[in-house]
Amino acid sequence: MLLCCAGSKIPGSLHRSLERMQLAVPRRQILASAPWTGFALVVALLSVWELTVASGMVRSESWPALSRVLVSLQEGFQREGWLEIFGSTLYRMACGFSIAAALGTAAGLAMGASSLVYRTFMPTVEIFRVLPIPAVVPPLIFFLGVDDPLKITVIALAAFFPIALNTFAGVRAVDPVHLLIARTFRVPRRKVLLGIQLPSALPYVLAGCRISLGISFIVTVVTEMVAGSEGVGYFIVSMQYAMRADDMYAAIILLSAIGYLLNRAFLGLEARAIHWARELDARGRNA
Amino acid sequence: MARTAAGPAAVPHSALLSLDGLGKTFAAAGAEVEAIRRVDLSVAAGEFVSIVGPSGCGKSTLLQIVAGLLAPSAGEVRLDGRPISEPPEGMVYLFQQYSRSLFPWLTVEENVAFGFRHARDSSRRAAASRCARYLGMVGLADFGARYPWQLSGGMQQRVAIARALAAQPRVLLMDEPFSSVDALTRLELQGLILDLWARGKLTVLLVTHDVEEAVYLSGRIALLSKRPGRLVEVFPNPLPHPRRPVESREDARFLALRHELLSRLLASE
Repeated sequence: MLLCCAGSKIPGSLHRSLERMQLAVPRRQILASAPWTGFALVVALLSVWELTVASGMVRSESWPALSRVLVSLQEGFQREGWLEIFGSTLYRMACGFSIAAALGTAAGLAMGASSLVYRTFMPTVEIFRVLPIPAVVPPLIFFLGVDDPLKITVIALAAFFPIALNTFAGVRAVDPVHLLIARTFRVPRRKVLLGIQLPSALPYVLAGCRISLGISFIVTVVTEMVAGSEGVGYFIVSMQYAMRADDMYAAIILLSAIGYLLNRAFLGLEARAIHWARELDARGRNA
Repeated sequence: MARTAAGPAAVPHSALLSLDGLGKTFAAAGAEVEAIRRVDLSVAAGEFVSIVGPSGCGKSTLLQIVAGLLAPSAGEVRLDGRPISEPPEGMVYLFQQYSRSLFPWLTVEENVAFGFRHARDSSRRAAASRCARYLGMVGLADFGARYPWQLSGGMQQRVAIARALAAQPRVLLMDEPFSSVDALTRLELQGLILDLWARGKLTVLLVTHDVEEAVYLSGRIALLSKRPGRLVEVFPNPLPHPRRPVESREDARFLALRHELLSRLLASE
């Protein structure tokens, strides 16, 4: 950049050669490969938050300075018991998600393996899939109350469909040559399903799980907001009622951090489980 | 040696594998396409027979029917006198596309074991030694723990060959198994297949468009016409064993048979 600005004072030939040197490493590429720009924006946004209050631009009980929120966040471990609040939220989420992962994978496999199962269940799946999940909470309260049974059921229901449908798509996308191989080696049907169709669908299954992990996180907090008296969702709503904005924002910041870590952890797990699929992509299918 | 004309009379009862009046018609977009018509061929135990023909003549279709992977529209295939409707025991089909036929989530050793593990309830140790034996046979003794995508194309096809042989078939069906590897690797793999055929009681049926490959490898060569594929003639191969990659290809008998087959193929185009 400096060289460009100083260009007019440099003899023409040297200027051109310097330009050429710059072309060898385009500036845009340096910026694109820099790891800090994304992080810098996060810091900038948080700084703006702090400055809006520190400068006196915003004076409001409902918009405390970031620094005050961070203090509340730190004190909250003792005072509010973050571990317990977030622990109970994550526990419900884990229960619901695990049920959805197990049932969703099984349902997707069954629909992919048998056209009878597919034709029988697909219309029902289509009807339930498009239903906004919070809408089923009130009727379910009749039967399940407002505590864990309700919440875990709702989470599992919401997380089920992406996993089931992705698994189904993965089973359908199995390389037909793989299935011919199974036939020529007279592999029994059950082993074809578990030994060929499931592993080759695994990238799809895990992609569905990653979507559902995000959905379960959202739905867990939503169910805690609308029913019961436990978890982060309930805490955030209570703090809003109590006009304790700093505690409310502290919980939201923690929620965001946990969501980020969950997604990163899952991506790491996914990369390990299907390392072969990534290698294959990198080398090209026909290499 | 006299050439035998093909026909139902040429099917002896002692044949290990016999194709009787085999025909296949596909229904494609409302129209019917006849792929092969009335093919009769018999293969005795221990024979190496090649099927050559112009592209699109239904060679692969024919081999898939023999393998029990595709149902014929007419006629039948018998193994040991028993009609084939599903892939029978003791017969393995080796695919052309090695990159798609190996399972990328399994190691080389697990891929080889895949071909036989379900067949008999063998112990883990027995399975491991069986894998090692067949991987050794194809020259990949040290590659069992690798993944298929870590190997070259020729090595992957060796793994596929080891997997096929580890299932200990009596009949090996090969559909252009060397067509997607480079020329030098092809020569190596041809030599490997000849060695493996010569040491065991393996019967091989090979489909190829490569006349030289057919003449170099096989004992008899069946020539198919263009679509619909009919059996034109079966040529016995006078080329003596053992065959050598360079010398055998310069043998007068090799050149004569190659000349005959190529001119017949070109004439039928």
